[in-house]
Amino acid sequence: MSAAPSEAEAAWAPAPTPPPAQPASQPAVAHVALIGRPNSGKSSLYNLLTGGDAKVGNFPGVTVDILEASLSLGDGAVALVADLPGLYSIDAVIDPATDEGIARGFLDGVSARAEPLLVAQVIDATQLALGLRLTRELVARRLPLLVVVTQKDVLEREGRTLDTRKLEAAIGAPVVLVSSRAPESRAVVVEAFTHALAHPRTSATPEWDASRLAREVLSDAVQVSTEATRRRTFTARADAVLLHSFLGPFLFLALMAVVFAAVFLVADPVTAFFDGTVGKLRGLCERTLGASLLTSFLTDGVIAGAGTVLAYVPQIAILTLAMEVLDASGYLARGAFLLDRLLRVLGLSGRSFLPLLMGHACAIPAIASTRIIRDPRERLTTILVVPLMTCSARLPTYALILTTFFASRGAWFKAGVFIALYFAGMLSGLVASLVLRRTATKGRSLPLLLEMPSYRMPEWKVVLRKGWQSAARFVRDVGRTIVVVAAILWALLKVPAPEMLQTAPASAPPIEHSIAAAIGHRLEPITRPLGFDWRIDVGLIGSFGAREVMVGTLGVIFGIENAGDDVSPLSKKIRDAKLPNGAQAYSPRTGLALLAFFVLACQCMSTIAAIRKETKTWRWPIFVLAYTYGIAYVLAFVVYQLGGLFHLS
Amino acid sequence: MANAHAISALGLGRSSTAPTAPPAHHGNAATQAKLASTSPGQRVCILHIEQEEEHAAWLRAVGMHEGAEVTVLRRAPFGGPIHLRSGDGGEFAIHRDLARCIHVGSPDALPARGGSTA
Repeated sequence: MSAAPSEAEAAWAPAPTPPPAQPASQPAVAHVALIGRPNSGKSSLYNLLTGGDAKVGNFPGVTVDILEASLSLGDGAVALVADLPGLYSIDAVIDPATDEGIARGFLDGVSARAEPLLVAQVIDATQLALGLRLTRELVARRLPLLVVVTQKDVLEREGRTLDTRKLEAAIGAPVVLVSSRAPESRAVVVEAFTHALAHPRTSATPEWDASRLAREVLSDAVQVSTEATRRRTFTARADAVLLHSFLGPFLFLALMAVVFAAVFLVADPVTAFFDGTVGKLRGLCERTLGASLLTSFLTDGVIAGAGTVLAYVPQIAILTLAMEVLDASGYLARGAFLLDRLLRVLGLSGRSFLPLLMGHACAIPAIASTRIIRDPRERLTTILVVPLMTCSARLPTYALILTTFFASRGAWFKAGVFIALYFAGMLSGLVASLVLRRTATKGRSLPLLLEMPSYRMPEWKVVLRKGWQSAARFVRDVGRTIVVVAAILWALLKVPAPEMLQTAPASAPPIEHSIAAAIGHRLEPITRPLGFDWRIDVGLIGSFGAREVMVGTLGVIFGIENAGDDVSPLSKKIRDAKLPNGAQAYSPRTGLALLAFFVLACQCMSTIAAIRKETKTWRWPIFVLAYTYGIAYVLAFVVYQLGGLFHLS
Repeated sequence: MANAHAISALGLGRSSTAPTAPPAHHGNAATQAKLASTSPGQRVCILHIEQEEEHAAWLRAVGMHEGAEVTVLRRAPFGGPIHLRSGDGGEFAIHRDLARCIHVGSPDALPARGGSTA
């Protein structure tokens, strides 16, 4: 990862401006669109060509991130290479939001702007017949085409040859055979790009059959090479174990447990280090600037917000790395195969499992990981229910509530409630997905077919780069929203409201004079049926940005310093809290209602920002806020009122 | 859609000797069966995809086209997906419900193949 910062700087550098003095023959920067089936080696080729540099291209009407990088061609010109999502067809478009629809939208857009375009189709030589089916469509559309057949090394090891001349003659477009992992292939491909852009060829209607042509141009193995046998038998043998009816699911769960353990073992110390650094920075700021409203804004608002951003980075990087390794190795599709039946009952498929599982650690990488789901409606459904999974940030609040309201109960009771809370999260997610698939996200889906790629050794450079890029993108895109919301929440909690200065006693902690306190008092009539008074309401306002802030905010309200380090003094204060009439303010009913609220409400601006980023609209993040807070209110109300019926006080 | 039809025509062209009503003299179980009822280890040929045209076109593009030879490798438990290998060089997991819409026949109905592309 040592080289990563410089790569990221390059990745997020402004778009390369076209050379000012273009030759008359090249009026605009040429686009090279890399297109190919999933697992065709497209990403490896993109990586080889661009060194992994990538920025998210700005393409009108395209709703997903398409990575783009500039590439110097042999003749001194520059082309923009775009890495389109893996797809099977550009004709068979079931929904514009599928990868097929996105690619077609991109190609149509470039054609409409009459910009020079070269479509470079990447085909895995070991799946030539399948790749040529897409070639037929591209040829029929009369797109300027270059076919890049990868896995030359594999063919050589298997003693097979590809007759590129014959293939070129048949399809009427240039063909190059390369190995994406060999550095010398770069020059071959760049030369082919340069030549194809300078001499664009569009061929006639394809009158060849993909399977037959593949058999004609690709020789069979001269002899059954040991390499070919080894590769095929490895996948078959591995599948015999990993897809075994009984053993397979256990191995999958064990692997997931390892991934989770890695998140907590590796990410926690790094997060603690970031926490410490942010703490030191706050201290430094306070010492340098002295106590003032500005210092408070900088330390409690901006730096605390930035700290929240950094706290998520290790989890996001590790979960992204784990997912990339699982995907690149071919195992992810196997996991989906094993769990498909279970999730199908709930209107989802096996591919949704990993995002839902990751949601138990942190919703943000889980939402980003939904990109593995090809079906757009299923992907959206998964994005909408992931915030209901019991993420690690809920745990401190659960612990505080259990310690406060169920102090007299034994450890077994508390453990039981914890497990019940986990199941409540899963159950609510599953019910929500069932309902959403019949309402908000209903509609046509892709046929239920999933490609199972051969097992492969992941390319570590590609995997590490993707992990780094997702962390960098999170800091850049999501981080901005978090810092803004943190600054707004700071203003709500710190800036005094004139009405509160008149009503609250002058000796009260400053938070009782805040705008949040004023809102809390206004909200009290609405939240009274849930057992929440204005103080809990202020805690809920404070934790709107991040649920783990609830403990700290309640600590400030009840005048406890560093409540996050040890919750017992705060628990005691909350237990002893009185209403203005002297009655007990809270009871176990309040605790249960609060737990119900925390299970369901999406109190996480990072999640909201991540949903905004993935869906490219504010509609769905607002929908998530509305529906999770709505059902949280209803469930908390039901729990509190039922608690009253059972005399839980 | 014109191209979807082109693919469809291609698919039918490939299966000219394996029409939707396969010859009756192939008396084995695969002759007039659904992919869903094909046993692991069995090699069959896709005859017809009973889906609306857009879905069928997508399936053909993925590799499940009329005339394609597929070998069933295994079935996931509890009615889960079916794992199969295509003669064109890919492996797929297909849901049981979809497999019930795919009519398959004996691969002997196809012309002899010149070799595998896998």
